[in-house]
Amino acid sequence: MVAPFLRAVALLALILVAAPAAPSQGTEIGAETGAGPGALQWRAGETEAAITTWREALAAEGTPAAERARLAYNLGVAAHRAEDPLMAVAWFTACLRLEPRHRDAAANLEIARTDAELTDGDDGGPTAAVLGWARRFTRGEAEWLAVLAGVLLLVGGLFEAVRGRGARPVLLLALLLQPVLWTPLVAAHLGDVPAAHMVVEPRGLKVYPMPAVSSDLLGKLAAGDVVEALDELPGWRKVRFEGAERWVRDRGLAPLDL
Amino acid sequence: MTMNLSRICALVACLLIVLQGSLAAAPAQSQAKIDVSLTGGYAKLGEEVRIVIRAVTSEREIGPLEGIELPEVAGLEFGRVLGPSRSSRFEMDARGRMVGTTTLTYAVPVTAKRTGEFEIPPIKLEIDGKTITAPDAPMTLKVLEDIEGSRALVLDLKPLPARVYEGQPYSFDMTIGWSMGVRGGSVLLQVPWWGKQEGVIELEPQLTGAERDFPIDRRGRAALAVTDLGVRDRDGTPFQLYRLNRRFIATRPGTVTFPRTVLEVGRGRGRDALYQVVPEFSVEVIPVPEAGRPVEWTGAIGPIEVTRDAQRRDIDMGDSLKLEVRYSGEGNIEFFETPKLERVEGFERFRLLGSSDQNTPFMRTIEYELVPLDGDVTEVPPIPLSVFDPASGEFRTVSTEPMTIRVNGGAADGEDPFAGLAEEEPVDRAPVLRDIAARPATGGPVDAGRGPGLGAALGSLLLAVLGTAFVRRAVRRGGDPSGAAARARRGALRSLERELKGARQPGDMNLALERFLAARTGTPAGEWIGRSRLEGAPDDLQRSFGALRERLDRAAYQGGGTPPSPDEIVACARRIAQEVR
Repeated sequence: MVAPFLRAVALLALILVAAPAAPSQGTEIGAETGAGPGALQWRAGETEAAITTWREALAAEGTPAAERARLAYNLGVAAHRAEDPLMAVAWFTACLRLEPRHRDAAANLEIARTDAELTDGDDGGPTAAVLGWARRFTRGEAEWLAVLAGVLLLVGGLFEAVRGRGARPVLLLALLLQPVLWTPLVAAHLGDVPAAHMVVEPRGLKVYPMPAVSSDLLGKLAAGDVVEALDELPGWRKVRFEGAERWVRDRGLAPLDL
Repeated sequence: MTMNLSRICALVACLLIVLQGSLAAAPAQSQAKIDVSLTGGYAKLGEEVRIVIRAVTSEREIGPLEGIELPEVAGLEFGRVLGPSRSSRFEMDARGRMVGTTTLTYAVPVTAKRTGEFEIPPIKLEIDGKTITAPDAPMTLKVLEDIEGSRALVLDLKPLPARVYEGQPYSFDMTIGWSMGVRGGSVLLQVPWWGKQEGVIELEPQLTGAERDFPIDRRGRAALAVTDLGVRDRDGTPFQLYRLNRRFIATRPGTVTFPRTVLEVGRGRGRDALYQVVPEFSVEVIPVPEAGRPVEWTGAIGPIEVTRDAQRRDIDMGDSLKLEVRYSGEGNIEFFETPKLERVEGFERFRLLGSSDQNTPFMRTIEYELVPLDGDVTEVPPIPLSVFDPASGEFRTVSTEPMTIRVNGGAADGEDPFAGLAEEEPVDRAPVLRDIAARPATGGPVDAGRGPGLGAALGSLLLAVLGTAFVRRAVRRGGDPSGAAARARRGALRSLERELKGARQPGDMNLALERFLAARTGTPAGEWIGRSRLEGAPDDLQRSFGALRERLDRAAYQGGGTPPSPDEIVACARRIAQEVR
């Protein structure tokens, strides 16, 4: 009874550590069977048309999340090719929010961040490593992992209740797995910005108390900053800035939740 | 007796007189006197007069006036009710007694939109729950044009267009000033629409020359930056002039209203102020038409002019060329998206190394750093921009002039000057951007991020803790599952299988079965010698167990018959383990 359980836990741990990534398509250049219309336009050098196609597909209702992630990724590549690394950072980030284990998007995000001269705050320490791992899961997956943690604890607890001391290692293992399985959900909960928008204006965005440039200047959002968008007016967007509701010009903001 | 009666009558009469006096005085003291009047019967157009409401009482305290209902009078605007201010006064009356009065004063600003004579009906208000209308007759206000003010003050507004397009900038350009002979008191510019127009964005102002803060609030809390034009002659009279110039963009269709703008200049103590007024007007905002809108239009609304320049036009192969494109004019130059050179015909022969975008009012400069890719390049192609022209209501294209350049020497014609660079100085090991994902992802959920929710996660944790605790407690009631008896009971079947494998005689098999039964039931093995009845077992199990034991006993003790096989014993034991508690 113990051995199959341990085998299952070991398998689960292996899955979590390996965290299967989305298949890389980085080398598939040239003739591609099943390529979408945007990709065909892109290959034909019709960059503008390809971007329009991808944007329209992204705006269409009912597009599956995986396809939205692909479109965001492609738009990120297009933005980077158009010498707009900040916009590329926004698109790749949006892609990763939909599909956190998109290897190509993660790799391109690193490049775009470097080109946009953004620091990612990753000091290479254990906290950053844990957070990096925890962010490889979507919010939904993180919730399922937490439920799995509860189920494992229940199984381990029942096993120990029925078998006594001999089953305590199983319970101990289930307890040790709790922080591992809960970390993605805690990280998602703590780092979650609702209606997140990123500043894609290289010079940053001025922050005003009202949607008028004649009002007082309260501060500045730096390029790459992520803020919560609360409301909008033509040309303006209300955001949360230092805990208060403020206004910025919406030309330099890109949504991250697609 | 008669004496006593007359004394009592006199005393009662005195009491009645005192009581009557006090009863008569009481209502007079509690009733406040209400006085409503205008601060003046005449006013200049632009001048503010006030309706003053006073409640006077001899009591120490007086409740606030409530429910002040202002009438509606065509051509007059009533501000919000100001106050109250409270004052108390004490004085000696003719008999040397100290008498006090308390006064509550409210004020209602009144301004006229036009000249004429206006009747303001009596005002309704409540005091101590009682509704009063005052004054008895309507108040009359005569509003006259300030002839002197119109001569001595300047408030010239350049006409605004009656109609603008959504996104089209328009200017509010006003000259403000006064004759050098009149200034002596305060100055105030009343711009009640400032910052209060919905759907309008103010653009960054362009101030040329000396600036000055012009008060726009009577209490001096707000001011507008204006340009000081200095003293200038107007019809032979020196005027101090200022210019207020602001640009706005309407962001949604509709009507933008500019209520009356008033300049008020005081002339010092004892003299009336002078007024000059710009009447209310409005600007209609309409959307940019869809008809004829080219796909390449990126929001530019004219008039916009474009020029180009470059510091060096004679360059060596591989050198970069700094091309400056300047957009200027009254259009929304800071708002449209500039053309992407990669998409402009002719620029495929250049490599764009970078660009910068600088914005100042009325001027936007884009600097492109370009490298010609071959020696045949002789000109920088024109850069077109699609612009909507509000004057004609049509879209048109403005372009830079092509610019002749010369590319000297270097690589052979038609070769990419960057081609050899990789061999000479290769080694940019920077990671390469990965290519697009070509194949659409079909299927899958629309919302991939949906999980069971935080509640379910916490619920599973709670269930695990409570379930474990409950089962643990229930199990512990029947004894410690870690105890020797419990472990023996759990391992009884395995022990039986092990012992049967090593059993050579039917007696050994019998012994193994008895030990199994003892472990399962928690009784000494000796109790099972010769016992063929199982407590609590179903009938068929009872029968097969009895038959098994009989065969075993016969083979073990009587030496007759065929003993049951180990598999038969294990099968029966398994049933016992499963069915007998």
